[in-house]
Amino acid sequence: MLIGIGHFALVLSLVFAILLVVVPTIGIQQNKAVLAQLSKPLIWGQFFLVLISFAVLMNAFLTDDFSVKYVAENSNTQLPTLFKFSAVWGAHEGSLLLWVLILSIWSVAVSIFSKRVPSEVVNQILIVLGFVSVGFLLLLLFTSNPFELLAITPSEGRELNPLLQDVGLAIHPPMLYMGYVGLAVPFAFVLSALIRGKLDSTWLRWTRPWALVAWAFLTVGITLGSWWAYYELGWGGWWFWDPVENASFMPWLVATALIHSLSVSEKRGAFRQWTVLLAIGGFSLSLLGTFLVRSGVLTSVHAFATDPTRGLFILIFLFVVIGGSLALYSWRSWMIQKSNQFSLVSRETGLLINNIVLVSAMFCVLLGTLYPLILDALNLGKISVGAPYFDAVFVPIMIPGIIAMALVPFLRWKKDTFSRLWSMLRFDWAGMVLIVVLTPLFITYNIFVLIAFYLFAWVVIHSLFLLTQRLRSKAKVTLAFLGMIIAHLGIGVFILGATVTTQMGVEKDLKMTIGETQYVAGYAFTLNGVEQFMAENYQGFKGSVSVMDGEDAIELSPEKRLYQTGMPMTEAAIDPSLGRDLYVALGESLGNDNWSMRIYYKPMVRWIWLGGIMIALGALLAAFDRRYRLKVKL
Amino acid sequence: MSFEWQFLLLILASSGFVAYFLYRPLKVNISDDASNVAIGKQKKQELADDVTKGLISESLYQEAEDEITYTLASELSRDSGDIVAINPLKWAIALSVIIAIVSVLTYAQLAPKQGSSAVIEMSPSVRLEQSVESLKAHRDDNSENGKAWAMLGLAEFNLGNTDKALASFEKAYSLIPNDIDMLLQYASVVASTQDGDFAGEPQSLIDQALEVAPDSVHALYLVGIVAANDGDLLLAEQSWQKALYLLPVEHPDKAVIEGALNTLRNFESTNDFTLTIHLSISEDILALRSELDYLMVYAKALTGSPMPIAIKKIRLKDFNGIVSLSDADSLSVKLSESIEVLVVVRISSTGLAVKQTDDIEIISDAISLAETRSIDLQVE
Repeated sequence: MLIGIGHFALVLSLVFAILLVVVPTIGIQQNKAVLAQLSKPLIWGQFFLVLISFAVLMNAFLTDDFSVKYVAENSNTQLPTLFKFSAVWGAHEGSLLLWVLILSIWSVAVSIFSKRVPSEVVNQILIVLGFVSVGFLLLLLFTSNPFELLAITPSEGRELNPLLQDVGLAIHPPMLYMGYVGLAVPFAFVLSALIRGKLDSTWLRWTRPWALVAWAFLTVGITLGSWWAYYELGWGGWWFWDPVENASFMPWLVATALIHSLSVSEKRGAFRQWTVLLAIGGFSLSLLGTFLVRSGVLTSVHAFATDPTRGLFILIFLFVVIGGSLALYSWRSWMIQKSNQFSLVSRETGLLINNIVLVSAMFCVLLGTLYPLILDALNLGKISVGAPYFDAVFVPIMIPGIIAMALVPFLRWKKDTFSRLWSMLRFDWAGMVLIVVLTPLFITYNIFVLIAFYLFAWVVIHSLFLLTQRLRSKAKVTLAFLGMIIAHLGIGVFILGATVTTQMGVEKDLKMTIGETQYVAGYAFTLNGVEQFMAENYQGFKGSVSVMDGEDAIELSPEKRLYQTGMPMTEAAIDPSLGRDLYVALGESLGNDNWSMRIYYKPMVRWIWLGGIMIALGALLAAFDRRYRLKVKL
Repeated sequence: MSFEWQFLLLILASSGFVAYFLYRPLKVNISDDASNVAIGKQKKQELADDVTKGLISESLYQEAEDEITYTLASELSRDSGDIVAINPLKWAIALSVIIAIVSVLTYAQLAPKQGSSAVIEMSPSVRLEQSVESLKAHRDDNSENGKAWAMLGLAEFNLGNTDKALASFEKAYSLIPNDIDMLLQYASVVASTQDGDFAGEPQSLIDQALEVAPDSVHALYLVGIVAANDGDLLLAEQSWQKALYLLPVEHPDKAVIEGALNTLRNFESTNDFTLTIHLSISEDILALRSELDYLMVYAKALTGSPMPIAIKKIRLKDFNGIVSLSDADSLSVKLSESIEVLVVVRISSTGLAVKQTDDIEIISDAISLAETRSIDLQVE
């Protein structure tokens, strides 16, 4: 009976979303403030109704209600309770419901935390967010209903995808969705400004904190996904240039460009047109990512759905949103104030270069992701675009961007000179020259590691110098400044970690007999034994591996799990540290006490995720800067 | 409390919630102008801070300040006009009615209709069994009617009674040995008993059909399949080209044959490195599966990454006995760059990347790509 309530609440939330688009619009058009002000209660109501739906579905999972098709297909009585929670978003229908819930959460947050924003702006923003909600609720209700009932209730459900039975995966999708959906907020700010024809300082100022928070979530989501892939897929990779990973990375690149472009637009009144396009582009890429994941056009570890109807619906919605936004932009762009003047050597130019680099990088990823699909769709053959393409094209584009990233904060607004920069930074650059000369002698000759180290040193030296300079001056160290320093350092940390682990990691696929010792990267790995074990909803084999790290002994227990579906899962055992990870995965039994084993030595791999966390932390600090707590008289 | 009452309660609560805010609207925030003025002042303050921090030269300070002033002046806007009052009761009633009607109608459209799927599943087989009974009756009345025997054979085959089907076709063959449709149906049924292999009797039946009617599109299509199975790509292409030529422009089978030709061309174009999988799926399994189920065939590394190296995913209805994997099907690592692989064949109703409960999967032995370009696999 509860299921009916959940379903009906979802239908009612669609009605609320439609009313949110229609009623406040009438209010704004006819100057009826009461109707316009109804936008907030309507979004609260919609949120509450979606929350009811979500709670009902979660309850169905927790109570093993297999009369619900979605529950029967993704859960069973043996599934641990934690994973019954995460099973709610473990497949297409539930994850779409989560998407709608998160969109409601963002919308409610906008309605609550925008007291300093004029009501007309907030109302219009909520109308745009309501329109996006309508699109996704229609998709959910008409093509992906999570409350569909089975004619005959099975006594037991199927297995939740074992890959998803993991804490990392329980939190990765919500974080990623917070980022994806969060980009709807800057999009709504921009569209509201375009619709109202008032592209003023207000929307620019108040868009940035929202963009920063969404970007932080997106960063955390991508970082968590990378961390999960590393320890759960059993072969130690952290990024595969998988099309679905790319689908999350593209909005991240554009959002990175957006937060930088916004800082120029709001402070110096430059790049306004460009900022508008970036906000539209960021959310459009989020929708494109949804289309790629949900339509089934991709063959990937992430390919959850294979329903062309859903794909077609999202594609139409994508065209409506992108086409509508761009049409609105071309209609209203003349209203956008012309950019204030700045010279070739200035902070504005530096940030422009940053934007060009990021958007070019995004296009290179977009090309590599969509080109095979387009060829296939046109029956022009099948090609695969993998890591070699992305490594060859993406990395060289980003290197100048990283160099500029460290320098631009030293540049002055409007106009600067190289001679001033030289006199200020000449000692840092001299230090850099020393590092360039000495590093090959003392650290490594690997050219890729050298380049990564130089970039890391470049970013660290400049960031720390900037921090010291600010601390010495009388000026306050703001959260925004601190956030920028931490995020830039995070980029440097990430680059070094990613390159060192890729270039200097040691990977061995071995056949090991029980009692045998193998030496990998100077560590002695001994396979002591393998025993069978049973857990709540799977059984498997657990290996016992001793690793000698100098005098210290480390015990590792890699597992090979067999879930009810018969799907084998590798649960790698990892000895983590900031300097290196020792990674052991148990493979197949080869008979006669022989086991295939994967033993990896991963230097500095943790730096990859440390960098991600630093970037996200930097963004959050910047979002809570004092300037966004402007006091105004109501 | 019944469903209806709960729904009514939700509708009333929703309507009441909206109506409350019509009578007690939320306070309005600051105006556009007040907001822009406050931000303008803040920007000037920040500009002064920037001068202190050395982020803008003093000589350009005045210019930047003028820009802020100019921007603010251009943003201060016209009067937005007088607020128009509304009649809250009228709006409350209107919105309540809309909420009630739209939600109930939408839910009625979407509400689950239990039991329908069971009915749908039952009906085809019931109909088929009834057909067999009526065909048997017809055959008893016309025991020398070859067409009736052939139809009965086909119906028995669809019911999974292969022996009875073969007996019926044998009888039909003795009565109407030059009937094209019967010959081709008979060939298909015999081939199915040989795990989809058209060698031997099926091939001679098809040849016989082609002798009787050299322009039979169906016969040409089957000849193409047999030829492709045998690796005679030229004959396969010629047969399908001819079939294509013979079909009217709008004929629905054109797409099927064009699809086969495309597969053949892709196969030829990527033939530099192709792993051909001759796959037979037992009739028992096919009978249990829907023709819309997916057939996923992929190669994965013997050790290392469990990700597929190359993958083909087709519907069972499009399966013709051969699946080829080449670099064109590769995801990131090229198949041609792999040394040893395992080939996984999976029949799946969902087509998901991860194996599901009702998926059927077989895995080949290790294949050395340096030595082997063609393998045989059976799904039984």
